[in-house]
Amino acid sequence: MGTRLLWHMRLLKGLSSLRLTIGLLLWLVFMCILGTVIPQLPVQATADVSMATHVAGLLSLKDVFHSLWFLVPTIILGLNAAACMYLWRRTLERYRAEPPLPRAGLHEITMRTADIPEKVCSDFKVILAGTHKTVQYEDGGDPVIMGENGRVRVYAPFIVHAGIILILLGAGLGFLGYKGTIEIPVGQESNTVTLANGSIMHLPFRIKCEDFKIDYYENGMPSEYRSELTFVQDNDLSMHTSVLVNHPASHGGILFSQSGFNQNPVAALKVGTPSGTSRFRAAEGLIIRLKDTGYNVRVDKVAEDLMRMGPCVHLVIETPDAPKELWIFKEFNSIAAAHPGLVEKMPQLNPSLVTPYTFSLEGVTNSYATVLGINRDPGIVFVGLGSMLFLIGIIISFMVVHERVLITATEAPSGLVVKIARMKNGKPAAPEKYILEQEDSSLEVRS
Amino acid sequence: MNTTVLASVTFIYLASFLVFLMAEVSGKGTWARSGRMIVITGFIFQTAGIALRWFESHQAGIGHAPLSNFFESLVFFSWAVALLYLLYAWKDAKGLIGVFAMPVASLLMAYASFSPTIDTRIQPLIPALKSNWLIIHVVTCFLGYAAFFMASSFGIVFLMVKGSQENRGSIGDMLEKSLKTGFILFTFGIVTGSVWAHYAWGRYWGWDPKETWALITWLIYAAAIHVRIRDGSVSRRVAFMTVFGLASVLFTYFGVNYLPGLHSYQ
Ligand code: HEM
Repeated sequence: MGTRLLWHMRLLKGLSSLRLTIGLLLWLVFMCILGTVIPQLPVQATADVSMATHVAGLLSLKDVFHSLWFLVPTIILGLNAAACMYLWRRTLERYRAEPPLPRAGLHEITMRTADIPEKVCSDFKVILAGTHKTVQYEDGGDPVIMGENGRVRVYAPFIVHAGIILILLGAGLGFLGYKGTIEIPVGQESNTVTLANGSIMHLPFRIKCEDFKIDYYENGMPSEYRSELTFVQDNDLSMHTSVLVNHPASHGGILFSQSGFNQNPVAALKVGTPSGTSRFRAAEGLIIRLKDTGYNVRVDKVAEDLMRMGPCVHLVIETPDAPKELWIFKEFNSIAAAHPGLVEKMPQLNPSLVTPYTFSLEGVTNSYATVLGINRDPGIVFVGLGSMLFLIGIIISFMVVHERVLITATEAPSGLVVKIARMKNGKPAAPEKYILEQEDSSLEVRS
Repeated sequence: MNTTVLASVTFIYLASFLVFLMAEVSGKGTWARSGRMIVITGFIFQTAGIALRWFESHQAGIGHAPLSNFFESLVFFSWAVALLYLLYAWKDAKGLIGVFAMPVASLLMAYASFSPTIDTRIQPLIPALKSNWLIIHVVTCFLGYAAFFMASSFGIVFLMVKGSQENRGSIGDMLEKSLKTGFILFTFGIVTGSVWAHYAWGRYWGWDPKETWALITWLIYAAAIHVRIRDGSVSRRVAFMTVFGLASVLFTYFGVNYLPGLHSYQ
């Protein structure tokens, strides 16, 4: 039993060593540097989840910050701080309400006075009370006056390291969440999230993008991106909200932020056929099946402005002989007028190349899709709380001085001996002059 | 207009450096006192230049605090170094610290004002930069950098001064004070930066190179603080670590801009 206890204490002592702290901090510095000089590849979701690949991934330096080289020392650092805090309770013992007078670092004054120790002590108490919180008690029969300031400093290490532990805990909980993006074309709904590792996930609710707008400065730089969203739960329009850069929205514990956008140009195509005219609205990739012949027309590219010649669409038409390419410009008539013989030289510009059709482009408009960042992070509250504690802790620790002045008086053959001890943050310090100068200078002061 | 005022500060700080050098060489207190007066003059010009830039940005209809591009950050860094020099060195203004601090304040201004690669124009803010958290983040980070810079200057002096423990004592105290000030400010800077990142990018930490290097700097100074606690007072090891810390500060600020990331000002 006894040895087991000893073993526990030894482990605790080892874990709480400051040397370990310094070593771990410097190790983490080293790993962080590696993380910025070795190109980092986020892990990709693969079908292969064998133990070996998993372990190799955890040891790989291609994702340093999720590797064991980084995570294990971080966990040990947390345990280090926890062990430190646990043992620190005993340090607190030194700061209990009625401490004995320290043995070393005392200032002694011998006074020739007829007053009894209690009287001298209560005189000092009045003086100290002007600047300190004072208590009076007895130590080994002698009266003791203690003045104290900045007691909160005593708890600073506890607050600081509790903050660190909370931050680490919160960061750990973050692993239980997920991050990704969702792309929603204006006017449409989606719940399909592409996670950071490339895999797909479905949210328990749908998001509709009502609108997406970009504002610009006079010089053409974008000044604002704004998505108007509705969260749709069980076909109930549950909540409308706007999401802007720097103004994310939260729904169902998930943070939605404006991460980017995609622009899909849409062509307004007109096709003259023997049986009349048809109109299509076509985005890139759309395949149109033409009546009469059954040819497939693939919309390969839609451009708002191609080579400064205005809106243009690139079509690939599957005819029985061979696929035919067509570049249809909105301004075809004026382009052809400016370059006589153009169609002969470049038949792919001829709108009537594929008989019996005549293609024309009425215009190109832009349809936007907003790209939202998705972040579900169950640890964020702990991280926030921990950061606040840590900040408060270091401010107290660095700006507040815990000061104690202990004064006692005893009768001795030479007269009345007054002993003064002053400590700042637990270290002996010289008493302030005004305390010593309360008595006349003929006094004998020994330190 | 603001850039002219700010460019002139380069020479005022340079002059103070030369005067502080004279103070070191001659050992005369009058030199040190004149040096300080020159620093104050430069500091007033610099503050006015920053205020003017702010005002001019509002006149141009794109008003924002002048803390949003590389030029503005260099100016603010220099301003913070001068401010901390004045605060720390005020009472026992050792000229020696001025010999370290003022050439750096001057160099930062020279780089900002005269480097052909730096755009000194006032630019409108891209959406990600429109945040009050960003302002607090930049202010606290750069004040923190400046305090770390002071700590490292004291660290170098500490390592240079042979003499008695007595002599070193006051330098050690100033080192410790600026180390602690820097740590509070820089921690505040990292926390507010995380809050900003949370709003702007939807995550508080993303292992972006700048973020990672800020953490490296922070860890080095945290280690320095623990070495200081272990050694009982500011030791040569602590002084060494503050110098390493400064190298990390400089890399966080300048080096990372050459790596791709959200923070690169270019
Ligand atoms: C990232 C991790 C850590 C950071 C950022 C950190 C930060 C700090 C700071 C700022 C202080 C000065 C405040 C104060 O004195 O209360 C401090 C003090 C201290 N730290 Fe840490 N710490 C960390 C981890 C640890 C760990 C793991 C231990 C365990 C051995 C430890 C042990 C101490 C001790 C013994 C003190 C002195 C407390 C005192 O002043 O009485 N620290 N730490």
